[in-house]
Amino acid sequence: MKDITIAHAGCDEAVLKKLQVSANLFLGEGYSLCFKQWEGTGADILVANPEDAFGYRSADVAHRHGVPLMLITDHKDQYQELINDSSIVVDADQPAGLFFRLVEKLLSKGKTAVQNVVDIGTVPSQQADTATNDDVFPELAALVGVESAMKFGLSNHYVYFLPKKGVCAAASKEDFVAVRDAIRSHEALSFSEVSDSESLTSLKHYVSSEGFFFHSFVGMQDLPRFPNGQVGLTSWPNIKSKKFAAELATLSATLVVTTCNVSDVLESHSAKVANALFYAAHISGLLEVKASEKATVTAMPTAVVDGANAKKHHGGIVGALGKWLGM
Amino acid sequence: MSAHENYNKLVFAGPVGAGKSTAIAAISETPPVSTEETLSSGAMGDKTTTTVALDYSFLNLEGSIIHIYGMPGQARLGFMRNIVLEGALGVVLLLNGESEEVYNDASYWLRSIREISPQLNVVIGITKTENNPDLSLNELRGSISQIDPKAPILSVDAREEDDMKQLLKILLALHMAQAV
Ligand SMILES: Nc1nc2c(ncn2[C@@H]2O[C@H](COP(=O)(O)OP(=O)(O)O)[C@@H](O)[C@H]2O)c(=O)[nH]1
Ligand SMILES: [Mg+2]
Repeated sequence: MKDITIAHAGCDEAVLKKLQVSANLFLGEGYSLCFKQWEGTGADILVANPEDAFGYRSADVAHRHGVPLMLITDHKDQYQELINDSSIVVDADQPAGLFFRLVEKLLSKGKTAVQNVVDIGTVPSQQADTATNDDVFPELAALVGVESAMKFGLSNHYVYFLPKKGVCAAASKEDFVAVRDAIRSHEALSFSEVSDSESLTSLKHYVSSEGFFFHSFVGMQDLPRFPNGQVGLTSWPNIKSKKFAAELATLSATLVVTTCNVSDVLESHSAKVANALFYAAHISGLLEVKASEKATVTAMPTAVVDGANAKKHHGGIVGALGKWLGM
Repeated sequence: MSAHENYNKLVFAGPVGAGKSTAIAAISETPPVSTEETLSSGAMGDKTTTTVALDYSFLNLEGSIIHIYGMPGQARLGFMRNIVLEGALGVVLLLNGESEEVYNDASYWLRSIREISPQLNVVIGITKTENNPDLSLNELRGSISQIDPKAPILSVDAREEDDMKQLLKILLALHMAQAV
């Protein structure tokens, strides 16, 4: 059994209780959790309430030392200086199940960090770079790999992520637009699990989840580059788009039949579209990510990459159709 | 490549009411020719007039003619399907997203097309999704997983030219990827 130490600082009773429940869940996974007040070092994770003075100071130290950090606050925007790749922000009133998953995510971030330090030189850099379930921006990490419905957004606008159905839903189009804009500008979003009793009948607007996320990401000026590795699509992404139809079709046709190297794809296609597609498919559970060493490295078939070339091979009817469609 | 496989044909297939005639009209410059017949039985719900035979239209792309067919939805006209599908560049399979049968329709129609022509490229368009908040896109994926798990599925509006063109772009991309 592996021992994990979770330190806490400035948290109230309710949060501590939820963490205790999470700890019990970890027992089932072959870990034993030790809970204690933050003492400056020796913790795998720090859970801190930055609104508390001790909580803030502890979080600051942990942040500077690269200790994975879970910040418990409703005011994410006030603590941007504490937020980086190995931190997660969560509201105090979230259910224990979500705490459990977030602790899990943080632990795997910690592991990667440790591995990178210890095994430097022996771990192929590609592998260290390979996307894991946590490699989506920290803002949306809480959505990756979830199986039950999640509600996310701003105080007055929510989008519901329904992973079983593969859709995002909202009560109005304005909700979609507001949350999309918040994602684009890295605004603080709140996440909560949708309870079984919550009625979803007021949600009249639906779109595929990959569609919602793709359109959010493709309009982002500073979308981080998707981590390197071998990727493929497990299903065709259902993304309606006039502007990017041709690129999406070409990319998808390739990635459903073969895995490709992220860098190769980004170089040979519209990087903006491909990068947004990777993230959207990843959150929606459509992306297969393989560590480079295991995967067969497949370059993009040249005729697919080079649209002009492809047209040459398919003159006549197919060429004329392609021209008509603007491909 | 047989003499028939000249890829000068696009086929719209799917059950009655899925939007085939609408889709063909949306991408055609001139109104399509439809051989219609009024179904007297109430078997098709409240839809009184429905196409039981072929829709036909064509695209004239700088002298290259692409024939467009709407494949009849009725089982009794099934024999025509083989003729229509032969030599097609691909099939746009439209399914009515409003119908509870959409999952069964997806597997039934995809299997029927695959039985006639295993290599033919198929793109699935789900119409009228705005009328069905219960529609599960993942259940749709599940319903074709035994037949062709990676077949493209796109939520579309058959009345929108851009949506129909996006389906055709997917067919073309599949064709190019296959030809590599
Ligand atoms: N809301 C909506 N209505 C549609 C759509 N596609 C077709 N329709 C309507 O559905 C009805 C049946 O369409 P039709 O093209 O005749 O279906 P067909 O039997 O497959 O040829 C018509 O009234 C269309 O206007 C769609 O995507 N959305
Ligand atoms: Mg018709």
